[in-house]
Amino acid sequence: MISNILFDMILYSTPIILCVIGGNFAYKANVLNIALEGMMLSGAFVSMFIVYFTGNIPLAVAGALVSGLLLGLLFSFLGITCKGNVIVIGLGINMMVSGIAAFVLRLMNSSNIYVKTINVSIFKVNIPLIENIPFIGKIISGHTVITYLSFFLIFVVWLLMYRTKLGIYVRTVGEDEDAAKSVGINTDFYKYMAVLIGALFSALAGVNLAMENLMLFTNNMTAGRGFIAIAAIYCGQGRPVTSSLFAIIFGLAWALSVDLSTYAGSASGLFNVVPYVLMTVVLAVVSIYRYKNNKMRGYKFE
Amino acid sequence: MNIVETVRLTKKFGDFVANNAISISVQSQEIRCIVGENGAGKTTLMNMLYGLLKPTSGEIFVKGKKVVFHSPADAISGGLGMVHQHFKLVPSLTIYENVLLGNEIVKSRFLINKKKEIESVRELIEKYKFDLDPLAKIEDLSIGERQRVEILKMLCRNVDILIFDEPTAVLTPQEVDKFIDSLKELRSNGKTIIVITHKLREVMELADHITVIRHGKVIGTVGKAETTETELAQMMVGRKVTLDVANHHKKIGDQKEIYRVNNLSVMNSYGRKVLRDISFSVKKGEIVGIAGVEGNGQSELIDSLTGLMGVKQGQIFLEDQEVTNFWPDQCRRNKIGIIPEDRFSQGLCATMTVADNSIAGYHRNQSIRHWSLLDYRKINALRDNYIEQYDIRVGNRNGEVGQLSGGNAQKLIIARELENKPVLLIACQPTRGVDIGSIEYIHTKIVHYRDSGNGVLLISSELSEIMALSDRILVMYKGKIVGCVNPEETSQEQIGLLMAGIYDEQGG
Repeated sequence: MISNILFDMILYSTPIILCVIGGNFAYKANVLNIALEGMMLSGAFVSMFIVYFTGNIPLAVAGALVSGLLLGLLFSFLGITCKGNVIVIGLGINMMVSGIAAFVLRLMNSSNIYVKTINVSIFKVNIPLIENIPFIGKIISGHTVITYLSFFLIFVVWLLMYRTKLGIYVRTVGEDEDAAKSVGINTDFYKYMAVLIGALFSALAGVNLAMENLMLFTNNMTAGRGFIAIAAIYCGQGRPVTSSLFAIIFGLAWALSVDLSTYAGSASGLFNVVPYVLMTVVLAVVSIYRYKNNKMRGYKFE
Repeated sequence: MNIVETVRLTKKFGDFVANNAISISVQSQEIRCIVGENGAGKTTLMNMLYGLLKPTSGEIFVKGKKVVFHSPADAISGGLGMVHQHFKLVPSLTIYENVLLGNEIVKSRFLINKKKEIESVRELIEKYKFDLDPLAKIEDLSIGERQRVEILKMLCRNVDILIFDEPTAVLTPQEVDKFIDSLKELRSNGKTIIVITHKLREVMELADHITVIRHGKVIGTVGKAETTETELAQMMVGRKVTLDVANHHKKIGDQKEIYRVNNLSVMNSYGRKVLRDISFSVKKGEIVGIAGVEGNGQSELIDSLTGLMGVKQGQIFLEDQEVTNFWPDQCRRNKIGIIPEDRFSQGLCATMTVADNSIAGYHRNQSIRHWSLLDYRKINALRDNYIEQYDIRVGNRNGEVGQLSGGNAQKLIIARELENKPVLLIACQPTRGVDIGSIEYIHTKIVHYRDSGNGVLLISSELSEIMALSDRILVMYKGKIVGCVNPEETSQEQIGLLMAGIYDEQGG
């Protein structure tokens, strides 16, 4: 039972972690990207759409990533080049993706896209030796390729953020745009990069969610994971490792809600709220902790 | 040889001509000061030189060659660097990261070579004897240290010409001396230096030549030896000015205390004590000045006295009534007038009209109401009254406050606060960024208000202002009051020492 929950924790953390480490860049560049949700949904939809018609998995992954990048470009163009309101644009993208998906499903005369011919077990990786370790083996082994990739990417993103020009410039742009401009850094370019990294990672999260785990797409299956990722980014203040830890906490909540509801009988629906309630509570606690010494009255001390 | 030369450089913003056919030539290895009032066009000129603004017409020559800079990066590679008034540093990054920002040393084409970066910055620091730790974060540095980082940033890019925009505005008198020394050091190392400033005293100390700009035009260029402070001031303003306020410092005997602060201590959001045991009083008919380098607790003191920040320890009394932790609105109702530090973020609402702003904070006054609704006939009459009485120059009476120049906006705040007849005025940086004419006016108003038997608490980072107006000066250092001096018996240097935290324990 416990090993089941912990296994699921890793399973459900994966898409959130991907969104978090991708979204961190936009957060650090001071562009609030709330379109993570839509970008993830588009990754999920496009990958399943391509698999359904071609059966070609690499093509599906590539298509999903391209769709994410296109949305990222759209978001950046409207929000950065045209200086639109990023919240409105983000909301618009989220609604647009879900609308397009609904429309296509309607044309296909179906409520979902499901591919029976490919078994999801082909994505599972059993790690030799480790899978034989009692308890731990059951938790760590047997996940999908993207899951392992996502944990590895936490490290890559850390390196990218703190040890490369890209990372330093993105952080500089977010903290003091004038400082960046005064030494000739093209600020818009780094904002674009920050958003596009987030878009790419979110699309990958969508692939993991729909194709890799279920071979199934239903509309709005992302169920707010993109927003939970934003909460995790905020809690971790854009630090890749800390934010990922928060992502894992939310993954645990998700695992609990799913696993416990199987034992709950008629009240099972109630457990679905666990991740959302936890998100609200964690956000409140982090906020209280951060501002506990704030003596400024009437407005937040920045 | 002229290392920098501008020929009939002009910049227009719409119909407004910010720079009108400016021709300046700066010789190699000189220190050139460019002086002028706020809004005279100094910064516009420098921004054109530095590639931040595109000239409407005219040409720039650097080292004899015609140049067109499209960005600061262009200017830097052309050998021209600028140290801005507001430092362009990233607080959460370290010194070496900031110095090499945009110029990183990389290994294997991708990763940053941290070791080599630290090493090269350390060498640079030692070469110019700047006394900094390359690994320290900017947010932990003092203002003077930050300025040195900013200079390093330019030096590591091998510039020959350094432009400084109001470099001494944020320094203590001692830091200013050190800064002037470093400029001379840089000059003897072959650099050419251009300093924009309006502080004439420093100009006389450091310049080789001085160019005066007024209303976007060059009024003249003079050698230091051939001019005086007063002459420069006249060139800047275009008429005779008195640099010293006609203030007869008052001997304060045993007049009644109207304001008293007892053992005030305040912690900031990071849990650090920013005010320690502050006690002082203001008597009737007295101006008490608080001097100190910015960032030594003055802002927090103002915030706690005016109700923007909660106070845990200590008490504040106004004429026997306790006013500790009163909200700004309660302070104003209890006859404390407040001139806030930042006029457009705390004193006025830029997008509202002049009329709305002339009642801001005093909405509850019955005199502007008709039944309990705001009566705009009365409010507009009040506004017109302020405008006439305080000589506030507005383009359009019904327009937004944002259209006003700094000086006129400040006059509106002063009109509003003084006309509500407070018994104590808390004036913070009352003349920051205000033209000389308005400074004279505001100073006279404050002195006049004091003479009619009220108390003033004056907080300013301009030491000369504090010296000229105050009857008693308190000096703050690291959140404490480290000295209380009489301006008539003390020199600027002595106060400077106190501001730098060097004081005689017994005397202080």
